[in-house]
Order: sequence, then C-alpha cells, then structure tokens
Amino acid sequence: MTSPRLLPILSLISLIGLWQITAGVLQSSVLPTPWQVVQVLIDAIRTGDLPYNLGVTLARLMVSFFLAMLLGAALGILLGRHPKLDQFFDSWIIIFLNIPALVTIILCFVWFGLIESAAILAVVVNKLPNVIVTVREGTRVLDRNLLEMAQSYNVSHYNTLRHVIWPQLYPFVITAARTGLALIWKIILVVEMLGRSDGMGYQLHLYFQLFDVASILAYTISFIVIIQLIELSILKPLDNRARRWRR
Amino acid sequence: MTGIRIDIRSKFFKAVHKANKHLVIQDLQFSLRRDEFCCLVGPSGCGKTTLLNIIAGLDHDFDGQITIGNHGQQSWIGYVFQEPRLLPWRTVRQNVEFVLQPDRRHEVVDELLSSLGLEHIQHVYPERLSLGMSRRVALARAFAIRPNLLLMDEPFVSLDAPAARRMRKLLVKVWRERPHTVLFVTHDIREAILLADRLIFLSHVPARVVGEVTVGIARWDRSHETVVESFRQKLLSEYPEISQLL
Repeated sequence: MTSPRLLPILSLISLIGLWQITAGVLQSSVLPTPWQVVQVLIDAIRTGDLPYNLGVTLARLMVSFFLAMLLGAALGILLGRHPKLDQFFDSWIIIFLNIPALVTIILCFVWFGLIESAAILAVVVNKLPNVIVTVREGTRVLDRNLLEMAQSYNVSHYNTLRHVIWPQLYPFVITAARTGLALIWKIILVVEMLGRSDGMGYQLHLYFQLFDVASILAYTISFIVIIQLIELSILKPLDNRARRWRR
Repeated sequence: MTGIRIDIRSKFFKAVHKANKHLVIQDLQFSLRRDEFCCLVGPSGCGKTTLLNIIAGLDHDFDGQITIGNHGQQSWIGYVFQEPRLLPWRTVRQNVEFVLQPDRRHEVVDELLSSLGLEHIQHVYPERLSLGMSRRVALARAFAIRPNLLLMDEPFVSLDAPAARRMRKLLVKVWRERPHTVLFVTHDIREAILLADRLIFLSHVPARVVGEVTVGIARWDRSHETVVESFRQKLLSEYPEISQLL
C-alpha cells in the first residue's frame, strides 16, 4: 500500500527532474536550472526585495479579495431573493462578466489615476460579477421548505440567516472564494505591471526587461507556494468543515 | 383560551397564466375547542396542506379570517410538516433547540429527548436517521415550544405499521400529559378514529366541510381493532355522502 501523499510528491520531483534535464541539455540563459533559481530565490529573500514586494502584493490581494467577497455575497443574496431586481441587473452582470480584465484595469487607471485605490478597484470590479453569479445561484436554490419551517416557528431573522440560510450558501461562498483567489492573483499582477511601482507584477515586468529569467521563476515559485499555503491551510479546511454533516 | 375559529371564504392558487386561477378552498368554516384533538379527513389533493399553511400564518393570500385564542394572548403554534424538514447541518439536539429561545433550552430539551427516546442519537446528524426517527425528531421540535395549538400534516405517512403505531401512542401520551389543541390532517380514516375527539370531513377541491362526527370511544378502548372497524362501518352507513373518503 502506498501512502496517499507519496504520489503527489513523486510527481513534483519528476517535474523538477524534467526541468533539470531540459535545462542541462539546452544550456541556455533563458532556462536556468532549478538549482540556479533556488540560489536567486535565497538571494532575493536575503536582500529583502522579495519579501517586501510579495508582502505588498499579498496586502492588495487580501483587501480586494475581501471587498469583492463581501460586496458580491451581499449583492448575490439580494438578487437571488428579488427576481425583479435580478431581471433588471442581469444584463449588467453579463456585461461586466465579459469585459476583458485588461480593459477595466486601463479604464480605472485612466479615470482615477495611477493610485492605490484605482488598482484595488480594478481588481474588485473584475472579481465581483463572478461572486455575484455564484452566490445568486446559491440563493436561488435555497430550500423553501426549511424557510417555511423557520417562519412557522417564529424564528428570528438573525437565527434564520445563521442556521437556515448561511449553511446552504456556505458551499457557494467557498467555491467563489477558491476560484476568486486564483483569478485575483492573476489579475493583480497585471494591475501592478501597468500602474504601480512595487509588488510582484512590477518586479516581474522589471526582470522581463532585464531578461532575467531566473528571477522571474524565483518570484513565481514563491508566489505559487504562498497561494498553495492559503488554499491548504485556510480554504480546504473550511471546505471540509462545510461537508462534515454529510453521510 | 386557545380555541380557534376558521372562516375562509375563498382561497385561490395562482396558475402560470393569470386567467386560470384555481379555486382550492371555498366557504370553509369550523371551530376547535380548547385542548380538543381534532382530525381533518379529506381526499388527497383537497387543499388540506394549504389550509394548515394558512392557519400557521405562512400564507396570507386568502379571503377570510382565522382567529386563534383570545386577543392579546400569545399563541404558540407547533407545526409538524408532512416531511420532517430538519436542518441537515445541525444535530438532532440542535434541531430541537433551533425553535427555542436560548434561555428556555436546557431543561425542556433534555426532558423531551428522553421522553421521545431520542437521547442516544441527540448528537447525530439527520441524514443518518431513518425516516421514523426523523419524524420523531420533528415531533420533538413541535412539542419543545410547548404549543397551545399543534398542527400536523399527515405526519406519519410512509412509516411502516408498527412505527406508525408507536408514533401515535407517543403523540397521545404527550398530548395527555400536557393538553393542547391539535389539528391533525390525514386521509386515513382508521388513524383518525384512533386519535381524535372529533372528525371533520372535507370535500374534494374546492374544499369545504361535509360532515362532523364526535368519536365517542374511550381512548383505552381504541387499541382494539374491532372497535375502530365497527365505528368505521357505522360512519359509512350513517353518512353515505362521506363514504368515498373512507
């Protein structure tokens, strides 16, 4: 019997091995070996460049993530509960879902200037329609029988929200959070590249101009590790918690 | 206090097309005395659930009036639905506590769970329960608020005969320990005779009252199959117009 952790580790090692072999064969400056990247990574951490820029990007990520989640959940519930409002705003949502991320980013910077709040706004506007649509779907499929039950027993609005509505919306909110995190961190790099002078996006752009592939890979790896940590240590446990009552 | 008076002149269901309104209840009147156990018997699909929803205050879209108890007195209505309607993400105990004010919880729930034989499963999630057990939890939840009016919508359908018998016994036991008005909807005339002080018969859609009968059999005597059966036969001969329900 193999342990369930063994296979992912093996697959990761073989990926690194493949990379090592390719880099070894090509001997090119645009594909450094894993070892070179690790050295660059350690250097970048030591000088404080990487922790600083990573921190700046993560701060932006957190702020825009929570803004988008809170606003999106509130609007999603509102639209899911009121069909008239939903009919009216549905086309708005479709439009916002389909505006390319790059366009919102450019417009935000043009209209509001190259400032922090414009950067955050651009990310939020990109993420918001997704959250709304997911939470609205969850609100639409709320179990009416249970709502009736709560109503007939005169359960307070707060308790109905907490014990009847929230547990049903929870899986949808978690889904929105997980897909949201993946979406936001990709968008945020573009935002930083176009209009900020710090953060991961700015650094990556800088290294692109310098053709410094080792640094680009080092930054990428550090970012992937952080996002994976958030996924595994926060979102995954929350997801499991939502399912514990199921058979 | 908690007698109730029901007077519904009309209740429509809105169809998909506005023109085809569908009349479910018409000129339906009856009263319940305080602490009376009354069974409402009618063919399936005759609007019984709709009637209970109206009494429970879930449906306000009707023409008529429901009077529960005296003015200014708080009435506690317990509603046992046709399906148990438990919160799947809360344990048995939490499901019962859900309908209570936080300060009333502990003693009431402990006592109730043990008298309904639910102690050993109190921390289990409903998905792991059999239908019979789930129904028992739904019953516990309704009793927990100490209702002075208990509405029951065919609460024992699709239980096997022994389980249904146990549930009826349990219901009568709790009702006699702490009397309250009960309105019990069923389409099973034997079940109605077993339980009720009085039977009210409803017609096909649109529902109205077609007959009322007092069940004058002592409760201890109703466990005999023959007593119930002969009462049913007597009903048949005395009220030919309700024979289709029986």
